Amino acid sequence: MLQYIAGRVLASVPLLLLVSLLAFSVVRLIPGDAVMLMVAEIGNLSQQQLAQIRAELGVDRPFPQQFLIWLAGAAQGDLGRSIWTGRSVGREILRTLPVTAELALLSIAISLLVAIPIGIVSAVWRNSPFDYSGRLLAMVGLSVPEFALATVALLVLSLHVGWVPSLVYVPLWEEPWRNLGTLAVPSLILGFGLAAVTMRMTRSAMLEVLREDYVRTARSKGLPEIAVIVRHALKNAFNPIVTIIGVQARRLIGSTVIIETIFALPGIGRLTIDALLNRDFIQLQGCILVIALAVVLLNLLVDLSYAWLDPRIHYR
Amino acid sequence: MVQPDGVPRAVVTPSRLGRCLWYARRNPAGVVSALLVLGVILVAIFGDFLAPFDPARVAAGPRLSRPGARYLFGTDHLGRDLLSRIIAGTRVALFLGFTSILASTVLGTAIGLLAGWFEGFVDQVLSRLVDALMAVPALVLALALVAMLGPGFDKIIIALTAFSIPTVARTVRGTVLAAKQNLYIEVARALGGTTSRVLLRHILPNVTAPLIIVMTLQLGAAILGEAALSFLGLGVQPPAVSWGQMLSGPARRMMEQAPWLVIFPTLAISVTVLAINFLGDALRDIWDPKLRGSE
Repeated sequence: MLQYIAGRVLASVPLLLLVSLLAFSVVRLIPGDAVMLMVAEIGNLSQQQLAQIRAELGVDRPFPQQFLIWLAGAAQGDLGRSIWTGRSVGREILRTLPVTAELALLSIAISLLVAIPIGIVSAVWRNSPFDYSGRLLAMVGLSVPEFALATVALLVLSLHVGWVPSLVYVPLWEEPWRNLGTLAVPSLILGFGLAAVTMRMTRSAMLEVLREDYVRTARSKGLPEIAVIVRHALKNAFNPIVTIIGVQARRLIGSTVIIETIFALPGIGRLTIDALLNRDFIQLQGCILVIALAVVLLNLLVDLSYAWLDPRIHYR
Repeated sequence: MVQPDGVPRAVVTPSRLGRCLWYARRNPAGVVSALLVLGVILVAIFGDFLAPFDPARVAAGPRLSRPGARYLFGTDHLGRDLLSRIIAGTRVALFLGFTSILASTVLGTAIGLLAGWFEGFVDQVLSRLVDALMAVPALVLALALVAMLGPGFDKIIIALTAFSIPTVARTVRGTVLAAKQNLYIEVARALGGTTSRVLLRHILPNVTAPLIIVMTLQLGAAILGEAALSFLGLGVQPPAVSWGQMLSGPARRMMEQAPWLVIFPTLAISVTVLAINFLGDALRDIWDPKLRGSE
């Protein structure tokens, strides 16, 4: 097992290198360079000042050299400084990451609580009215964009309940209830979108497993239906469900960008958008790198959880 | 083709039309969604004739007029007719969706074919590239591309293409890997078929069905992606109209007095994508033999 983990971690090193190259190149597609943009903001600068800024930012060096310098820094946890605020990119990310992590975990928890029971009942009562409404609901969850859902939710809540999102964010460990109150609506919205996919997966995985011989055996030996479904069927249907959670990690982190912007949450998604809008390329490449790292890490965790969930799988 | 019970399939296969009707009867949701998608496409094509007003004309009517007989969906804060703007947005959404899907299909298929066919080094390089693209959330990648490249329809198409390429490439690669095992591929090669001939004449037809399913579902995703880009102010810029853009800025500030400003664009996006997703599901039911008969 340890050997397998080490192998998987090593195998993701080239992937991470490619990802960092991607993050680094994307932000350099900007026409002209960041310095010209700063000039447009600040006003006239002499040639000498321009050269000085370029040297400070390192953008006067050739691309491969810039990349290697940045990569060496990143490997030591130094992602550089924001070109506008001068703040440490790494520290900004560390400040915002917990907010996004909490939001993501809450949404995943909500999605599982909703999706797995509905998916199971849908599969067991196949083609019943419950099944049809569950599937329709899942389709709606797949098709309504989060930002539209959030907008409509804000509209309904403010008109009927008088609830407006709080503009001040308090960390979980300072005022837990207030914090959860702030995150409840955004994580419900994200959770609904996630639940759609998980529910479809649960349903089809359960349908597949319920046809197996051992389920028939369990039933024929007189086990109560609930024990058959939970202990025999669901346990074996878990692998595809866990896989889909890993696949969705990518979409979830993408969605937090929008939801954090709408609900004014100081997470990494919001940080990314601000960096994008300000064309703060050093901050942006750091954000993209950390987000990709999180996706790779989550998928690694999913891979490893297979062995834990399914004793038939042995990593050797 | 011989079925497990030994009956040659040609004998039991009804005509193409008969088969279509059979699927249609089995899957009414698929038929309804196909008709809806067709309707949306017609609105996009003939929008100019359908729109009661010029979508960009300021003060076509009174400001923030409620939905009614004259302004079916109401008017916005500048007195522009909302129905006409939704219709204009349909064309933008479908145009950007279809062009980017076409581009990502061509590029993704090429990558997938090469990776699946040659395996080894080529596969390693191409697959790792796709993995790297897969590690960055599609929306973040698209946002970064649009922000860096600047505004413009062509830039949005590039961003949305990058959004879908990994999914297409992965699907095609998987299908090619499976199709390669067929005996007729070996025969085609033994008969002296060149690589390009075998790939295009014998492998590619296998890819068509999964590709059409993926294209349909990715079309929905691309439309949502464009809406998200425009919602954040990085996508379609005025005077062009987009559903996502209609939901941002002034509409959100005024939604309590004028809820129709956000309700109609939300419905437009949701109904369109819902229909496309239902169609994709129906196509999967028809074409994916693994799922056939399991519903």
